Amino acid sequence: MRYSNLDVIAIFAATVLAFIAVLIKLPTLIVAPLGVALFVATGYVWTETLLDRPIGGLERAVVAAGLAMIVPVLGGLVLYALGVPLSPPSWAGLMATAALGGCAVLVIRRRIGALPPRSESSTLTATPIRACALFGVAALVAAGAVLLAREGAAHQHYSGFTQLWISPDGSSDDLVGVTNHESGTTAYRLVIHQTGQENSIYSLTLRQGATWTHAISSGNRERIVADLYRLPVLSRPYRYVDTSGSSS
Amino acid sequence: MTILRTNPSAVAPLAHAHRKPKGGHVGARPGLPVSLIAVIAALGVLVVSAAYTHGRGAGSASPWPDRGYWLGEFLIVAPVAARLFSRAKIGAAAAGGLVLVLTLAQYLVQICYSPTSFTFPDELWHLRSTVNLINTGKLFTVNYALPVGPRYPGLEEVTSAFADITKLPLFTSGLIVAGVAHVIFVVALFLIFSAVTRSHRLAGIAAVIYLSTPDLSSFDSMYIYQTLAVAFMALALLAAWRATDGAADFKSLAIATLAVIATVVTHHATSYILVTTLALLTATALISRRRGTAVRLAVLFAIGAATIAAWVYFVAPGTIAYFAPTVHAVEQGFKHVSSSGPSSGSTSPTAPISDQALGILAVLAISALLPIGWLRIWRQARNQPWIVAMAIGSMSWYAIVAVRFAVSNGSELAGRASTFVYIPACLVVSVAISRPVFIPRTGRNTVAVLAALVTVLVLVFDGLINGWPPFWERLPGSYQASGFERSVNPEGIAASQWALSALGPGNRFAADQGNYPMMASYGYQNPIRNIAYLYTSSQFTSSDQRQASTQRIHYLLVDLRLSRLLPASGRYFPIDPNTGRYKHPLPLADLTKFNAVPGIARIYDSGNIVIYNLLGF
Repeated sequence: MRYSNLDVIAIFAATVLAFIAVLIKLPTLIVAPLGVALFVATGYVWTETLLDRPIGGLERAVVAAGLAMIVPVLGGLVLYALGVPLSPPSWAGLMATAALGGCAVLVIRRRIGALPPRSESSTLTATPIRACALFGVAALVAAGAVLLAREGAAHQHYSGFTQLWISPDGSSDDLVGVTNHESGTTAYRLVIHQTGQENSIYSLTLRQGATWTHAISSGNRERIVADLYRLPVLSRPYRYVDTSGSSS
Repeated sequence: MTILRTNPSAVAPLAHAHRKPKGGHVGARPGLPVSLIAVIAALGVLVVSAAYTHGRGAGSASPWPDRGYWLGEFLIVAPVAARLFSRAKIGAAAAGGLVLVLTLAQYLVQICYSPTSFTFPDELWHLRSTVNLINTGKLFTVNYALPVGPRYPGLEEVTSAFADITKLPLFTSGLIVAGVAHVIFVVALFLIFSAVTRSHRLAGIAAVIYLSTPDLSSFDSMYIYQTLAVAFMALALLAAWRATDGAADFKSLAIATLAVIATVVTHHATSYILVTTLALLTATALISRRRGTAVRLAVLFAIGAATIAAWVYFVAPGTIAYFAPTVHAVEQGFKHVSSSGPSSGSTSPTAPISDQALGILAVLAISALLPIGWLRIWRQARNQPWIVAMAIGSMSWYAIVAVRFAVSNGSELAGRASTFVYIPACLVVSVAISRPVFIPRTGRNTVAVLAALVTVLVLVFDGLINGWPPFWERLPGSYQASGFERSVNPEGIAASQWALSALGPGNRFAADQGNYPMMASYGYQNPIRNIAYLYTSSQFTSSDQRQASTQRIHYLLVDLRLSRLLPASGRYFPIDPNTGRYKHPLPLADLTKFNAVPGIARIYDSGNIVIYNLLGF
C-alpha cells in the first residue's frame, strides 16, 4: 500500500515556519496560529506513528492532544537537566525537534511498509453540510456567550480607591506615593509632617491609573506622617500613613 | 448484559436483552442530531452567561440571575441526557459527540464565570509558578502558598511552552491548556467506558453521570495541576486498555508508559491513584487468568511505582510532609467517630435545605444502585478484568461517604477523592440504571426509562448544586469577605502588586482568607496561615508580639471590610479556630488597634486595605 506523504510535508512546513517565527519574534497575529500548528503537528505525527491500529477519529484526536502535552512536560525536564534555560527558543526547538523526528520515523515506517493500511473507522466520515452549519451556529453562539461574559466582567462596578504608601526607595530616602483608581480624574492635597521640619503640602490632580511619587530624606529616622485629602473635603484625611516607630 | 463468547475480554452491550423485541427495536430510528443539540447547549451557555452578567450588576437581589443560571444548565444537560436515553440509534460518533458537546459547554460556563483572569486560589498559585518559570527559565522555583506545587511542574511546563511559542497572554494560554486537558480527560473516560462495556450508549450515560462529580468544575478543569494530571491518567488507562486488549501492542504500551510518567511529574495524588488502579487491574487480570494482560499491566504498574518513588525521593521529598496533615486528620476523624460518634462534617456555611435534600437523595441513589450494578457485573461479566476492577473500585464510594460524614472538614476531603471514586462508581451506576434503555419499549418499560433519565438528571444537578462554586458564590457578583472567587477584587490585587514592587518578594505576611491568595500570587509574598490571633482581640498584647516575632511576620495586612461583612466561607482566616461560629463581623477596634502600637508603622492605605510594617519591634 502506497501512502501519500502530503501530511508529512504539511507538518514539516508548519514546523519550520513556526520555529522561524518564534526565533525572529514575529507578531502574535502570525506566531499564534503557527505556534498552535506546531503543537498540533507534534501530536498528529506521533499519533500516526504510534497508533497503527484501526481506531476512531475521537480517540486519535485525544491521543494526539495528550502526546502534544506530554512532549513539553517530559522534554522540559530533559532540557532543565541539561542546563538549557526554558525560554521561547528552547521550547520551540523542543517541539520542532519532536515534530521533525516524528516525521522522519513516520516516513521510514511508511516506506518499509510497517504501517498497516488505514481502516474505514480511522478515517473521518463526511459530515453533512447542514450539520456543519449547525455546529458553526453553535460555535458562534458560544463565542457570543464568552464575549458577553467578558464585557460583563470588564464593566463590573467596583468602588474606586486611592493608594497612599510610604516605603524605602532603595537608598536612605523614603518614597511617598499616591495612585488614583477612583474611576476618574481626582484632585488631592497631600500634607507631609516630618519631625522637626515644616509641613510639606502638595496639590495633586491625577488621572485614573496615574501615580505620583516623591522622595523624602529620612536619614535621621524621624517620624513621617502623610495625610492625603480628597478635595474638596479637608476636614479629615482620606488616607494616611505613619512611620511611627518604624526602623526604616 | 452478556459476555461475547468470541472475545472473552469484552462485555456485550445491554442491547442483548433477555426478551425478544416485539415492538420497535432500540436504535431503529434516527434521533435529534448532535449538531442541533450542540446549538441548544450553546444557547444554554449564552443564558448562563447572561445570568452571570446580570449577577455582576445590580441584580444580586433579584432572583432572575439564579433562575437564568439553572435554565441555562438545563438546556446544556437535559438534551444530551435525553438523547442518550432515547430509542433512537446512537453510534460511536454520536455518543462521543454528545459527551464532547457537554464537556465543552460546561467548560465554557466555567470560563464565563471568570472570563478575564484567574480567581480561584489554587489557580492563582499555579499562575505564580508559571510566571516564575517564564521569568527565570527554571523549574522548581519557590512558591510560598503551595510549596509542593513547583516540584510537580507539568502544568507550568505545558503552559509556559504554549505561551512562549504562541505569544498568547498567560491567562489565555492557561485556559487553553486546562480546557484541552479537561476535554482529554472526559473524552478518554468515555472511550475507556466504551471499550470496556462495548456500548457507546452505556459509556455516554456513564460519562454524563460523571458530570455529577463535585470537583469536576474546579480541581478537574481549572488551571490547577490536577486538571492536567487526570488527563494524563485517563490517557494512560486508555492506552493500557489498547495495550492489553487482545494481541500485544507495544506502541500503545509506549504511549501508556509516557502518560504514566507524565502523570507522576504533574500531580502527586493522581499518580498514586493511577498506580493503585494499575495494581488493581493487574490483580483482576491474574484472577481472570489473563496472564498476558496481567504482565503488561504489571509492567506499567512497576514503571509507575518506580517513577513515583524516584520522584519523591530525589525531586519532591516535601510531598510526604504535605500529605501528613491530611492523613492525620482522617486518622483522628475516624478515631473520634469510634470514641464519640460522627463529627459535624462540613465546616462550611450550611447549604439551603433543598440543596442538602438533593445531596442526600443523590448519595442514597448511588449507594442503592451500586449493588445492583455489581450483581449484573457478577452475573454477566465477572471474567472481564477491567470491569471487575471498576466494580471493586466503586466500593470506595462508601468510604468517601463515611469520610464526608465522619471526619471534620470531610466534605472537602470527600470532594477531592470524588474525582477518582466517581470513575468506577459512575460506570457501575450506569450499568445498573440503563438496562431498560436497551430493551424494547412497552408502557412499563417507558416509565422505567423515564425514571432512569430523571435519576441521571438528579445526580447531575446534585453535582452542579453541591459542587463548585458553592451556593454562596454560585453567581459572580460583588465583593464577599473571606470567600474565594468573589474575594478577588481590584483593591486586593493592587495591594498585592504594590507589595511586590515596593517590598520585594518573599516577605512573611499576615493576611486574611480573602487576601492571602492574592498576596501569594500577584504579590509573591509568603503568607503565614496561623495568624487569627492577630485580628481577634482589641489589644495587641506582649504575647501576640512574641508569637508574631516567633513566626517572623514582617508585614500585616488588615482588610477593614472584615468589620462590616460576615465571612462567606465561614472563616475569616486560613486557619481559624472560630470557623463556622461567627455571628457578627469582627469589631473594628480589633482591626485598627495597630495604629496605636509603638514600633508598628502604617505604610500603606487604600481605604479598605491597610498594611503595617512589624519590623520596628
